Formats: sequence, C-alpha cells, structure tokens
Amino acid sequence: MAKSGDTARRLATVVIVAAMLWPLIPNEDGLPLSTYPMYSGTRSETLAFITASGVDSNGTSVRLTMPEIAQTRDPLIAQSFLNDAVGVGSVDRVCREIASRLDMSRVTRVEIAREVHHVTAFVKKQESLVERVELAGCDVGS
Amino acid sequence: MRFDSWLLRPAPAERLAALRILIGAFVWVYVVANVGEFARLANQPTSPFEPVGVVHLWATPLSAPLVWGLYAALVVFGAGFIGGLWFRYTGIVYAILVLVWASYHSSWGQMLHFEHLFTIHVVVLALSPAAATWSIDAGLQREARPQVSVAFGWPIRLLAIITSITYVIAGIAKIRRSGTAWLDGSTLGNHVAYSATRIELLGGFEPPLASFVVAHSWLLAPLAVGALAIELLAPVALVGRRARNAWVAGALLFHLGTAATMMVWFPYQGLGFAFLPLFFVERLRQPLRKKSSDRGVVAELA
Repeated sequence: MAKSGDTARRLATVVIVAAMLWPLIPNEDGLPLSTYPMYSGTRSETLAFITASGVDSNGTSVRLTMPEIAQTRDPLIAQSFLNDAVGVGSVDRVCREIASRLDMSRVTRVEIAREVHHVTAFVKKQESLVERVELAGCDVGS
Repeated sequence: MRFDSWLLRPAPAERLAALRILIGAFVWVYVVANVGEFARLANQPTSPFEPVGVVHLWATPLSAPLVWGLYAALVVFGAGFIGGLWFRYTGIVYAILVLVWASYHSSWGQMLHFEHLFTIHVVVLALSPAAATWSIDAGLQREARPQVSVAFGWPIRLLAIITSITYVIAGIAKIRRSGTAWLDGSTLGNHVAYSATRIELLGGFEPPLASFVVAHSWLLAPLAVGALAIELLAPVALVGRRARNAWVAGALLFHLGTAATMMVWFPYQGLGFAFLPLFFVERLRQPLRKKSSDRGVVAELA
C-alpha cells in the first residue's frame, strides 16, 4: 500500500513540476501557472506614460493620488487603468469618472495626457519631460 | 535515489498543520486587508475585462453582490481552513475560492503575479491531510493518528519545490527577454527609474533607494547579477540547511531590495511565508509549550 502510494506521489510530483514549467514552452503567461515575466524585458531610458493630473482654480497643476485616479493603491493597477482607457478609446469617460471622485475646492479640472519622460533624468530630479500630449480634459463638478 | 528519499521523507503532522495555519492566516489577512480591491471590482471598473485562469469558465464580469459574496465566502471558508474545521470540504472550497479571486483580480488587464504562489500553495494544502492535527477536526475525532508519515512530508516537499520553481522560471524569463542586457545592469537601472517615475506620476512616493541606485550606476550590474542568481539558484534551498538559510536570506534581501528601489512588493515572498515549507515551522510553537513535550524531537526527522 505504502509503495503504491509512494509511486503515486512520485508521479504527481513529476506532473506538477511539468505543469509549473509548461508555460515556458508556449511562453504564455497565465494564472496560476505563469512565466513570471514581470520586469524581465529590456526598457529604454525614454518612456511614455499615460498620466492623470488635476488643475486648481489658479491654473496650477495638482498631483492626483492613486485612489483618486483608479480607486486603488497599487501602481500596477492604476497604470493599467489609464493605459486601458487609452487602449479602448474610453479616455473621455475615464476623465469624467476621475473628476467625479474629486473635491472641487482642491481641483477644478482633470487632464489625461501622454507624457514621454527620460526616466533616469526624472529620478535624478533633472528636466525629464520630452513630450506631453493632452488626450482628454474635463471639469470637476460638471 | 537521494532525491527520492528526500521527496518521500516522513514529517510530523504538526509541521503540515503549522503550514496550513500560517499560510492560511496570511491569505486570510491578505483578503481582508484587500477589501478595497473587492470594492473596486464590485463597482465594475471601466477597464476592459480580459478573463484569466478559471474566469474563462464564465468569461463575464461578476455582479456586485457576487463579488461581495465571494469576499464573504473567502472570509468564512478561510477561517475554516485555518481552524481545520470540516477541512476535507472547507479546504477544497477555500482553494477554489482563492483560485477564483486571484483569477478574477487579474482579469482586468493587469496580471498580478504576487498572487500566484500563495494560490498554488493553498491548493496543495487543501488536497493534503493538513488538518490531521492542530485542528478542530482533530479535536472532534479523538482517535489516534500517525504522528510522522510520508503523507505529511510529501506535501511539504511539494510546497518547497513549487516555491523554488517559481523563482527559476522568473530567472529564465529575464535571460529569455533581456539576455546580456540584464547582466550588465542597464535593464535593471531602467526598470528602477521607470518604476520610480511611474509611481511619482501616479501621485505616490518615490521608492526610498531608487535615486541612490540610479545615481550610483556601478551598483546596478552586481545587483542585477545577484537578483538573477537568487532566482536561478533557488533549487539550492532544497539541498541542505546552510544552502537553504543562505538562499532564503538572499531571497528576502532581494524582495526588500525590489521594494526599496522599485516599490514592487510581493508580500507572500517578502514576508517569508513562501519559504516556510523549507523550515521546521512546528517548532515556532515550542516556546509556548512545556519543555517536557517531546513533539519537537520528531522534527529532527525532517
């Protein structure tokens, strides 16, 4: 009995290890079996970001928080939320959605933009903005 | 043969039970603390719905009552999993619920890789006799149970192997996608700068060591090689105590490093829960018990 049980355990081990390694063959990420590709690809120093920022009544730029932007504290989810808005063409709707979460006394307008930054310069607190294209703008409380 | 005897070495029931309690408690706290994510998904986010994993089975967003029902079920069955109450049923149901939640959470355009490993661990624990002791079930049955068995040892080995494999796969991904660009540190440097820029543009705080690492670029190559070595050498943690201790210390530093430089935090790994199957975790309870207890001695069999 013990021997057949051990054989089953050996077999199950082989099957589970093979299943864990399987995504490497088609190179397809999934859940719960994954290729764990996060932060593995090359990246250039000049990168584009979709941003959401506020403007106050004086016209000064106000940085929004992740909960205000995407109802999350996770930067992966917040960035994905903005990227998807551009990807599926719902950027105006997302702009209004963000505006609905804001207090008009602090922010009067929301802007969603595509910003290209030299990221190393950004971290070194040097001038980093290469390009900024506004994709959508909407008023808070409208 | 040596691997075979390692794989099938008996272990005390208490060790597997301790893993059920500790890993179960981590996932339970993780779910409870992530109530905001359930609220976000219950509100039907505007992101496109891209089913992942078991969500392919129904392939539509869940209604708000279903999302909150899932949350409530995770809390209730999670408690049953930790306490070992009707574990044969609660364990399986809880594993399915965790799998559904992790899949659903990643079905909105962003794969959340920090939820993969604990999901697999919960599935393995649910299918094992992890409630044979230190559980409500064991208290109710009052019958003699084998205290040391391969039935308890093998699932623990499997948990450890799975932890190890996830790191190796992550290392392979880096070599595959970046090649030597990873080893010279340039890719890592750009990832650190990218993460810091992204989080600041999203209104968060810059990772505390990002500026330092980017400013001292000579650090990047050794850090990149070290990170890759931790991932590819993960199986050494399975071969002996010294290698295990060295690797686990390195892996914890690796996770602290990614948090401090990139604000990338894998809580299950970074807090050490992923590595518990490599240790005699039942001994954590010893200081609370009488010295005369001989149960800890059984751990020497591992």
